[in-house]
Amino acid sequence: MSARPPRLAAWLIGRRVDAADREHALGDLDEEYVARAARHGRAAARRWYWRAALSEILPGRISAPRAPRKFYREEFRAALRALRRAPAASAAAILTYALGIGANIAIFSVAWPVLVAPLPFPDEQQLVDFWLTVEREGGGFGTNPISEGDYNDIRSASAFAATAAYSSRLAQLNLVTGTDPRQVAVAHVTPAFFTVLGVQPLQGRTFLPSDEDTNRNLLVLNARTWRTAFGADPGIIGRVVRIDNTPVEIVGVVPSTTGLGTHDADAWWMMTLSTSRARERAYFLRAIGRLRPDVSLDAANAELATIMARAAEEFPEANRFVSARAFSFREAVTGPSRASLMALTLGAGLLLMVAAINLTGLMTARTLQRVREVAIRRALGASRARVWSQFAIEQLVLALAGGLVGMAAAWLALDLVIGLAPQGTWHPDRALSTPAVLVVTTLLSLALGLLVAAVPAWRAASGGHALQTQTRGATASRATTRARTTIIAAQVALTVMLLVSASLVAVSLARVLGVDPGFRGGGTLVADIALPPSDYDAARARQFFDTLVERAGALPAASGACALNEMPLENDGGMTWVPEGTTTLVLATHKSVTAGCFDVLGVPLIRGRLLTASEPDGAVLVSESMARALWPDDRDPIGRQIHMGLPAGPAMTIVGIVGDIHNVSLERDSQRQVWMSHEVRYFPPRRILVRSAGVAPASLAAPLRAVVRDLDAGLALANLRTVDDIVDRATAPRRFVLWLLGGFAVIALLLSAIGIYGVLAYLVGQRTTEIGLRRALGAPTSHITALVAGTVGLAIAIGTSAGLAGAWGVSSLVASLLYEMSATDVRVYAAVAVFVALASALAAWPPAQRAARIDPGRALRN
Amino acid sequence: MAGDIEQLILFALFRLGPDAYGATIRRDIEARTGRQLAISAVYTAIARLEQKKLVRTHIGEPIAERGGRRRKHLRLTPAGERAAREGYQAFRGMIDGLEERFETP
Repeated sequence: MSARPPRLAAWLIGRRVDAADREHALGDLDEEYVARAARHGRAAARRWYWRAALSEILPGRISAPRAPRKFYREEFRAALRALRRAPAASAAAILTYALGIGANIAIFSVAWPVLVAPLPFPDEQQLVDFWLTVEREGGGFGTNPISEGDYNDIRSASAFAATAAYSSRLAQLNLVTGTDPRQVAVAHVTPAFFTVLGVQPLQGRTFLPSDEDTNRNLLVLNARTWRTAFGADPGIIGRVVRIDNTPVEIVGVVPSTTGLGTHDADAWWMMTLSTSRARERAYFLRAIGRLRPDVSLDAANAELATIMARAAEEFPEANRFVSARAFSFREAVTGPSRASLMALTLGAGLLLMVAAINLTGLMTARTLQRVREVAIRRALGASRARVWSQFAIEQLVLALAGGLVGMAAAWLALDLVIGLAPQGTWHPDRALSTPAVLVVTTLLSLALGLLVAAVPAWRAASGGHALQTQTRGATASRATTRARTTIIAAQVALTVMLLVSASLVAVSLARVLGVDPGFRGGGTLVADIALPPSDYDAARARQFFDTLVERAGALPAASGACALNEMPLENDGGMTWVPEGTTTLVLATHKSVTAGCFDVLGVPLIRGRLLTASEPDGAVLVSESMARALWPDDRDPIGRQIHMGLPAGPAMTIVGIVGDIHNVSLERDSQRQVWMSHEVRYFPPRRILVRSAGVAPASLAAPLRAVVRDLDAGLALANLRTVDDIVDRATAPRRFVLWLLGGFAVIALLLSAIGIYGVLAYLVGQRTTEIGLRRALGAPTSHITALVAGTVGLAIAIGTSAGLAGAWGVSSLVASLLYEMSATDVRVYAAVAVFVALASALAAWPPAQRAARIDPGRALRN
Repeated sequence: MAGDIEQLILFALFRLGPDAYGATIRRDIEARTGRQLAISAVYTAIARLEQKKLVRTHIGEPIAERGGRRRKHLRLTPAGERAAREGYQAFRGMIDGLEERFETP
């Protein structure tokens, strides 16, 4: 007997030929193979046979039996009919699609604009932002705002085509348009600001280099402010408005995205800087620049380093440890939210995979139920492609329906997602357009639908002889069971990955929430108030706040009031202080307060005395960590002097030590603080605090407003919030990640549980006869339960292990989101494993119970 | 009107007479046109010719050198003969006067 043709090739060809002709076609090829083997040798014959097989499966050889349009319309109708016949299963599939797709669309709609979309500035890769870098003990550096003298050195670098400076903080100013004053957040910028960014005005113009020489008060409006405060008045250009009682001319309106990466200001006020290089030690500037097209960031930083090294020699007292650096502007914008958005993208992706696997399981179950239908269709002459395409079209219909539902849900959830998003990461004008979201949703739905349809549909369509081969045995087919338990294992693995990530984030949040901020919230209302310097000199300002605090504290619903310059957790500004008789610079945050603030904020006195209503001799308090930093040798700081800024700065006497407060964030160590009286003229208060005597803090707003109006009708009370709000906001980014990641994990867990339940229920149904037999032969209930649970038990164990390994593999993605814990914390992994085991047992319980209750008599009769 | 492959098969059946089945048809077409048809394409075309009642088929006995598989023999029906003739005439009509152009390389 001569050699047979290659079996795999023959099998491949067999798949392509209609079953009725398979015998004749393969026979023909065998005949030819034998003839060729005799003439040219076996190897040549085999090559020929393989070529024949490949020409069968390569594209372009498949004849289209009918006009495609009609074909798909028919299939589409058939799909709708089939889906209507099983409404519950269809609804479950649509819901699963909606969950997977909706989660991804929601995250994509935030992540794409924030991380990927170009900034609204031309040639953004040339944009840099500048910081002064200050050497830290033990290497590294801190980044600080810039002084006028330093800025003038930075702008002398030839690496930059243009630079601009802007105030490091937004000024809250009072704009009077109608009868009510409103506070506007104003950024002071040098004329080149808009030119550096490349921002084009929507109305009028931006600032010009020639403006620098004039001493005019010019203002560029944010389009948002133009709409909200001026009703989008088309005649706005040239109009003079009063801001803090200064007449200012509006010269232009710019897009609301202009402040991205700098300050989200309501308006930009032109400022001019001196050209002096003298170090005045007022570090109040930030700066941006545009690299020359042929200069790299590294080259620019090398030049900056040289310039700043020269400055350090020239001004050793101010600049000894100081240099300047340019950073990628894009990095500055996207950097802070990258970690959380990447983690959420990963989470949504995992959820999508869980959903896909769940749908595959669901679809397998349905196609197996429809084995007879498929067999009949095939027997009636439907080609395999036709049967497959019907299943595929069914899935695509389900996927598109699910996609639409998911998109609608994402739409509704988007506001919530954005609301939770940390400040500055999102700008409404950068949202994806509706058509873009629709296209992405459609593509995602189609891809997912095809993927889900691929495996089970192919298996079903292959079942040409299903009528003959349909299982009649008492046990379930081994292949089917294996496929189903594999699905379980994969689903469990992905769910474990999600659960581990979410749990790590949750534990971190709990730890952060457990951090004592060092001050207390307890129903205290905070409002911003900005005194125009033109109307209030130091003496008047002091008098104003004394009166305001006294009258606010005396309100019937109030139990205390005070004023201070900056709330904790809302700014990270600092200043250097010098212990008497040394040249050591120690950085600390300065709080200038009225005497009541220690009581209102609950900052405890450790030693010495608190500030009193009047401290004409410049008494200050230092926090515990500041005391240690000033005199590391444990000398008693009380009674000693420190100089503000530099050794030659004004001297102040320490009269007491208070507790540390968290000033920058709850996560970072308490920062050192210096507390001084608001009488020190440099730092006038800008916040008023009123502690409620048991009523809702919001109800204090109206009486407080009345008090302010009574004192000065031109002053606005803005940005009302409570101290608790401020603490909440500090943890907002964490909660944002946790809510979403946790939500994904819970959904994945539910889908997996449904998957486990579904498979077991199916297996029990399949094995009713077998179980009945076992029962009849005397198997105890526990044995039956174990038998049923055992089928998925191994899969769950394997899935859990794989999931733990997978979570460990992606742990670096969540590591940066964690607080004082490792991303591979064994306790969290163990807890998740136990939790998944319990949840799986819960899902497996009902089918196992049902199996145990099978009536042997009935089972055997079937 | 028969399709391209169907037409080629009809011509082959004319020549092969009672010897016609998948392998000989394929070999004949390859020898004369240089086209190696996929076996599935041949059987799809045969199925269509059968459906149009242009050919009749009968199944032979199992043959050892075919791995014990049977042949599907084909024979033209009168309608099949007519269709082949019509195809030939249509072909002739279309190329009438163009021979020189197609013959020159």
